[in-house]
Amino acid sequence: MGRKFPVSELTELIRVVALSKDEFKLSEFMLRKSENGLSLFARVEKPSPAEVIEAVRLMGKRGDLIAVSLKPRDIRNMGLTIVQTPGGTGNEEVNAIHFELRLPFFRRLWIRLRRIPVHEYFNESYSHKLFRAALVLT
Amino acid sequence: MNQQSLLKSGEVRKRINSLIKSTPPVLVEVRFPKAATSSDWYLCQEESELDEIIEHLGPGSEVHVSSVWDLTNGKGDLCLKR
Repeated sequence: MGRKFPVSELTELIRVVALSKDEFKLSEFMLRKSENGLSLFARVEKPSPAEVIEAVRLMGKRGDLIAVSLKPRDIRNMGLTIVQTPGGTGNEEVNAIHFELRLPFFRRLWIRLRRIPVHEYFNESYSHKLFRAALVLT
Repeated sequence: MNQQSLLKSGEVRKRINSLIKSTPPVLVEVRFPKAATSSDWYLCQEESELDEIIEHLGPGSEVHVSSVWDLTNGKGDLCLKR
């Protein structure tokens, strides 16, 4: 991973979504079975959100792509943890500002003891809240 | 699912082509791990349709192919990584 980006300095996080009939869908904020956290990038000047979208497009993502933003304060109020992890695009600058929204340690432990899959718990408890909190970047 | 498979892996590709020929259509999920975006989904009837999808993919993407006739995915899907 490149430079460490202090989570405390985050002002906004973005997710790249595809528009369908001028709207984005709840499914853009859901985890797959193999995922532990929701992937997001920091909103910074360099690389800009446009560069982030381009990096995702170069991976092969199709459609009318836009960036939507989430405030770290809203995310923390939901009880989620923001963790920096390496991104997976072909652009190192973009990969250096990659983060994941994860369940806190004790919540993960609690659901594991109840044998609830992480992605199911996340999708039922948080996806709709993240969807409602997301704002289109202008 | 075989996560070690590479896009150039002939064995996985053979199995995918066989799946398309024997029980079309197949459900194709293109994942973009750690890229802050959701998967793209396609239904493919022909190998050429899958080729066209793969042609447009860049490094880091993953193609997961499943039979639409077995959505419980008991055998797992077939995975190609770019």
